[in-house]
Amino acid sequence: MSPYWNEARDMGDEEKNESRAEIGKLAVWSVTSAKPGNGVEMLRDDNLETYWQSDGGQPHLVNIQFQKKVRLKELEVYADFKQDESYTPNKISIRAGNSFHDLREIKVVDLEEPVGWVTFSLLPENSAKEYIRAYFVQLAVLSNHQNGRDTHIRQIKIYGPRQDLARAMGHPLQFTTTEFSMFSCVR
Amino acid sequence: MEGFLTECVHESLNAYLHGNAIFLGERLFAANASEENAFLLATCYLRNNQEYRAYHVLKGATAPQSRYLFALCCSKLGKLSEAEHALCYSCKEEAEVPNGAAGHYLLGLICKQSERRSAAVNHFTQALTLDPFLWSAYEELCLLGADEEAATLLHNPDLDLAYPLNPEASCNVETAPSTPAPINTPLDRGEVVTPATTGPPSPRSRRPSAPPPPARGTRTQSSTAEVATPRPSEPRATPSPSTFVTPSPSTSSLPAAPPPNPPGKHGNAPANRGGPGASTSGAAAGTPASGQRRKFDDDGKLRKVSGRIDDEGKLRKVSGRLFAEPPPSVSGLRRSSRLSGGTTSSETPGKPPVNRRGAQPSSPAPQSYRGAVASTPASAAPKAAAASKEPAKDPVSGEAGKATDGAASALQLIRILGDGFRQLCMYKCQDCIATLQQLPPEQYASGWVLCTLGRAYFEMVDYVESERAFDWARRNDPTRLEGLEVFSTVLWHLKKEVQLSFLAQEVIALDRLSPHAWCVMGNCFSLQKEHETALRFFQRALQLDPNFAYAHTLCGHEYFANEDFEKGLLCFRTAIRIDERHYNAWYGLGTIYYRQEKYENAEYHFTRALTINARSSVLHCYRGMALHALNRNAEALSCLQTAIDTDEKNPLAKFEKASVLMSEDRHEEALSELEALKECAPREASVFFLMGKIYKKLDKANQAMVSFSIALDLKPSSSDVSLIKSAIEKLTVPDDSEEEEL
Repeated sequence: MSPYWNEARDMGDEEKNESRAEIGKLAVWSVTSAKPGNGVEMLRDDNLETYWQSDGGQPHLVNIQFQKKVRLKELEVYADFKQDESYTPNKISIRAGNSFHDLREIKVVDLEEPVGWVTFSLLPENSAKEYIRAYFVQLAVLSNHQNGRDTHIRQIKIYGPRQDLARAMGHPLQFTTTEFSMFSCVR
Repeated sequence: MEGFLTECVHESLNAYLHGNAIFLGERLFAANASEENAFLLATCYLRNNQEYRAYHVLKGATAPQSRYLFALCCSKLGKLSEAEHALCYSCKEEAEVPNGAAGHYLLGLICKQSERRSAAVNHFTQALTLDPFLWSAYEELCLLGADEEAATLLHNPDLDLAYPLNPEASCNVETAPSTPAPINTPLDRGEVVTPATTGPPSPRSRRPSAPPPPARGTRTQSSTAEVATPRPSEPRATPSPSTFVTPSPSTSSLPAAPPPNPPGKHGNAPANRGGPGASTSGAAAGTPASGQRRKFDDDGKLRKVSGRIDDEGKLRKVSGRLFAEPPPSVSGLRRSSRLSGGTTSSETPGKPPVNRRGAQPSSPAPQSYRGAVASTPASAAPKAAAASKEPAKDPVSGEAGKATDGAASALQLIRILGDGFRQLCMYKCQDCIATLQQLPPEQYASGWVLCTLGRAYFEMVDYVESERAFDWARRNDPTRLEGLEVFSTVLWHLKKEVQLSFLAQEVIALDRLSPHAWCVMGNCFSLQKEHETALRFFQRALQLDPNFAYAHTLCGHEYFANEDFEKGLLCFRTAIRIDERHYNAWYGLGTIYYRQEKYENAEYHFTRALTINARSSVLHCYRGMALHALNRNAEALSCLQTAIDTDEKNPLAKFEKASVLMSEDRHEEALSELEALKECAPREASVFFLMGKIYKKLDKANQAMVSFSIALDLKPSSSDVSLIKSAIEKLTVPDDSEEEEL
């Protein structure tokens, strides 16, 4: 198989790709503390070998601030217990709101020795809504495995809902047949 | 020693031993740094793809050849102004552009890249005047949109004079390459092919009846002259020969039946001379032709085959008619002007249809192949590449005049291809397809032609046919990569993931350094909704060829899918800067503005796209949508109606029309549109959803419920399911709060 096929993270995940788009690039990312050489940029470098290491007191916070109110769907965190052991986060709280002082906790999750991507949906339980709207999202690491002080996070991705072409052009539904979609755009 | 070394270098170059050539060339240059030696050394470097070294060697050279080579290096290195200066520095006197036609072509390219369109057109025109066979210059002219100049150049009567068609010779020529067409064109001179002039397909093609379809097979058109006798011998036909410049008219041509022989000339009956000889050869030719025909008939792949066969009947009839008429009149061959007797007249571009493919009669191209009228119907078998069999029959035609005939037939071929390409660039796709069908089968089955055909169908939004054409092209020419990016887009539209993945893997394995291959890969991932990866691949294609306008457009579409509108706008604008006639990029800009709700801008851009390609029903549909968003509903409706009229199969236009009608509260009409649409696209959930909403407005809750349920049944995506369900729940709630806020 050609090596290029491995470049796509998940070829089979078409449904996922259809429904969400990564919007981290629209935001400003900051952290409460970081060890030199393992700063906040390691969270966004698409490299699972590099990680952010905190360097202060708990809780450790990752702040994601958008310029305008965006639609958000879910958050994904890559944590690896095998490599990071006591640095692996154990309890994560996710808060969202309009600004730093106006946050509301929307989710608290316990992780048990995670290895790989962990997805946190930002939508309220039992809701038919597809997204929430916010300016500011904060990921708080409340505790680590084995009571470690500092934490390692290797990558964070934040997703919003993806609007497909049909809806972008004002049609309420996506087109189900090829006959329609063939004529729905010029490529 | 110099002379000897020079010879050695030449030998090495001929044997492609570039390293050796460079080494010896450097010795030569060191011995004597003269301009000729510099030129030779630079040639060695260029063949070895080391333009920068050639550039330094040639700097300051003054001889024309050296200047041309220097300009070539500069243009490859991107130093356009230096290149132009080198080519032009004595351009005041217009005396020389080194290398004549090639120099002008290079200048044209430079002007095109520096966005001086009219200068570029001038240079390309000059190039073509100097050398009518410089296809690349012609291609560039068409791409720049210089339709009239291109047409005039191609159908320049002087060309016919320069490359007269030797009737007898033509026969030979015909049979061999089986390019019937070329021959005829020269005759045409005066007629210039405008499609308008095409006369009724008839006469020429009629030949078929002529006894054995002589080799021609391919071109039924064969000028009327042929009609007279099965044998093409017409060329010999006496009367005209005198008018023809071709040398040794009588002797040569005879050869096999070349039925089509130059039109005009024959006018008169196939010359008696030809007759006897012809008949024998004709007979011989006939069989192979029929054999060929069988072969073509068996190839059921293209539907045109059946069309062709039908045409056979028509042709037969026609030929009968032809025989009745005096040959000259029948031939509409262009030659008539040339021939004293020839009435040619119709030459008719129209013939093409008859021609082989049995395609649409309207074809504009001049074609008239001498054509094997007889065999044509069958032989037309566009698909069959086996046409080459014909050459076998090729008779002896005299050597004399062979070269000129060769040029004439080549000219014929170039004319057809040129017309087809020109029409494609003007987006007259139907005409293009008809024109291309006049080609002899073996030319038709070549990669370039089939890819062009595929592209023509693509522009007509006939993706199924396009896919077929491209499939055939890939079978015949599996290593051809140019044009495959269009194929990948076709598969993208048809949502054929497996085929697209397969294609992508194949082309990347063939050539990792081809921008077209990376575009195919990008499209493959885009279909899987992996927009980031697709973007990366399109950008790779751009690294390999920064002037690839379509790759820019595809990047733009990916940015749009990612909602990264700024970058999308940038990409589309770059595409337009490279190629102003790239209507896809204009459309892309329009969609971004539409998405950003800047409807005025959107409408402007859609209109610009329409000025380039006025026959795209999708463009009309989008313009209608933009007008609707601007509340100019009357115009919107007329636009949408144009869209519907242009392409009956476009369901989106009807759907949009129904939406507009609904917004105008013309519910009944909207419903009737949707009912009609239900017939063509019975599995489309959106149709039923819209119907449900209209029924709700009309207070027919039950029918609304039915429609919504059907919509649900058709398995829309998960997010849409919730939408439909909420619509059902709101059936009892009045309309105002109906639309969910997004």
